[in-house]
Amino acid sequence: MNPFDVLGLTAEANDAEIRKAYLVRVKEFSPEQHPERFKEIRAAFEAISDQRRRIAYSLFGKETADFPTLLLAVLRREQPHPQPVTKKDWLDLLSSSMKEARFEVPGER
Amino acid sequence: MGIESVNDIIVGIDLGTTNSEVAIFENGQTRVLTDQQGERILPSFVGITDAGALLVGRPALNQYVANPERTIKSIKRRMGEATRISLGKNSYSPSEISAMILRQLRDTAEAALGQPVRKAVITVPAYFSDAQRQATREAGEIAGLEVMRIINEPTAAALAYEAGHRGSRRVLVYDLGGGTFDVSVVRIEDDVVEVVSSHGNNHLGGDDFDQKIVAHLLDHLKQQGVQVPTTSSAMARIIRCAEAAKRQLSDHVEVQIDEEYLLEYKGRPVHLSLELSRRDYEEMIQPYIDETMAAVHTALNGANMTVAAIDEILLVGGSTRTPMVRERLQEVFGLIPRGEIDPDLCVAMGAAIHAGVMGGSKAAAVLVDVTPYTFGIGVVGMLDGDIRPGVLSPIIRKNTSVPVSRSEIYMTMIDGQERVGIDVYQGEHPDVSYDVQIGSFTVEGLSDVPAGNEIVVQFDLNLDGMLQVTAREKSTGLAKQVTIDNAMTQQEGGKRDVSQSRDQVAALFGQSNKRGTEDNRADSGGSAGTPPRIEVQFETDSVAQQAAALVTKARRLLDQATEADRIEIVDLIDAIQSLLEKGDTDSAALQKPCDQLADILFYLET
Repeated sequence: MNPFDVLGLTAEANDAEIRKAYLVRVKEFSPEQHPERFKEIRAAFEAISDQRRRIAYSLFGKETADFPTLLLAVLRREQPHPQPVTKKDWLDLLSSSMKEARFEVPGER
Repeated sequence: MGIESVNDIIVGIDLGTTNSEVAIFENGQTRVLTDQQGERILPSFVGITDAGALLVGRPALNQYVANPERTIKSIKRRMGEATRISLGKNSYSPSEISAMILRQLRDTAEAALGQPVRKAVITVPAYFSDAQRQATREAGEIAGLEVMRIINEPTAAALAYEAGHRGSRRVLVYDLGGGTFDVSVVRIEDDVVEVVSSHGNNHLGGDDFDQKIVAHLLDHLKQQGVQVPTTSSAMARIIRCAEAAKRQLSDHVEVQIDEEYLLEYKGRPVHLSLELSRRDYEEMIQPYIDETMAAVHTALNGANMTVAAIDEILLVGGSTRTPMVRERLQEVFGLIPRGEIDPDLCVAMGAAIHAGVMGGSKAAAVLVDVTPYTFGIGVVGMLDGDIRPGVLSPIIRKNTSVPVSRSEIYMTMIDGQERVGIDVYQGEHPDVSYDVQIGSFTVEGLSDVPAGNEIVVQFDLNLDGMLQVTAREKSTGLAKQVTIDNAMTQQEGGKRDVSQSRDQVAALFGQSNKRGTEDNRADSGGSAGTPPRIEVQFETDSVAQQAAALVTKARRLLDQATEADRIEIVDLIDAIQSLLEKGDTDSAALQKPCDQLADILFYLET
């Protein structure tokens, strides 16, 4: 499910609005009473809690699951030994390359 | 006739290294329950009298000096270890000893509330490992309590402070107890208490401070040519006066230590008399304080926060009364630590608040906690520039909110790979040999496809710290699942029957209760009048129980035995059975076949 929908927000929501919506829902669906709902809310919050994450989300959306497979195929051609690569590794790689390229994000300092 | 309450009450328990408390949440308020003497704090001491009666709390603390070999203190530091601790004629697991303290608290609560108490929320240090948490849960069960939830001490403390406060703040909880140290960064906002990160050390606390003073005192005696035997009442007196000196040094810059007639050494009486200044004491404990401050910075890093981001510091645990702790925190944060709630009681109060929430009470804050450890699997990966197996691939990282489900995709290494082994680890080191392996299983029957077959590994970590691991072949859905609930199975000799321990602890309590009523009826002249018969009864009961357990185990292993062993085992089982059936629980007669059987089984298992 789209994290913005889980939190009842539009894609234009800012950090503060996202945090507020998260807190309201956590109070309603606490980890103690509604563990599964909480997991969903927390995952949504973490997916979009700051600008960098929102960019990653808008780039890959929920289809990210197949992304590493795709890139691994590319990587295999260049490396003698295959090694496990996780989705997160790729996101980290991507975000660091964005930083190196001084990728300017509107609204961020 | 007693009144049965329809609503099961849930109590909150702080099971501490030095002290333990029990509290409840009622009418929107917390109340720490008192025992019949009006005491709120139960010293975490367990002992056995000369006559074999069980002592828990203050009486055990009091006999510590006279009978150090029959008294156990600081059992919390041993939780999760596969060890037996001897007490009187028997030996017990750390969980069983802790259960005796819990059972005492349960009795206190039942007396104070006038109703049965069967459910509890128990606190543990945030940095307690899975095995330590499981041992704590087991202790609760042995004490006849359904453990509704294990929650973290600093989090409980934050809940207690939060009750009745408004506004959004970032709080550092510094929890230095008798045996453990924890630090947590907590965000409190709109009635949500959210732990952002935590770090700690399970073996650092006030006990270590005592040890430093003890070593100092022993040095002093040594200079006079006096050696103090390790397990003597003189040693127990030294430990006691070290503790007293430590406490006094919280309020005084200097303390005079005097113990007359400490012991007789080479025919002459030895007195201990010296001064200890706070400055010298602080020099002794500085390495420990430095370690706690390093942990504070680790926690801040984990939260992605700087010192300046912290709005408040909460102090928890008796050892935070040490002036040096307050000074150092003030120096680093420029804040005066808060301490308006008794640091000895706020954890129990927080546990009670959470118990209240679980019991359906409105009010109070919602708690969001994190895992203090990283969980992952061992894979072939890059480490120090080499591609090698045994590299940790984290799936749930330290400081992730719980409950949580996370999955990662891995690839098979070779064409036509039929099986994949999943080794599950807890720890932070990229090389798994430095982490703790908490489980392992194999998925077999994978499709015959080229390397790169996708395996989805999912970790589900629940609020109790229980981890469920599922590995699934993505293309076919072929899956295998294990639940890691490791502490019980990691105990030496396999899982010990909780109900057996419970009966044993209950029996001990039956005994001490009998003693209690007798004492009340006569005068409270002491335990000399305890009938020794009960002790004998208990001894044999326990041998009989062990024998029964051994027989069960032998039957299970019978299939694995060689023909010669089989015959011997069957004969021994018969011999033990007939003794048990005859009710011949003379421990010596029963002990011999039991020992023989245990020997054979030991061989079989190894």
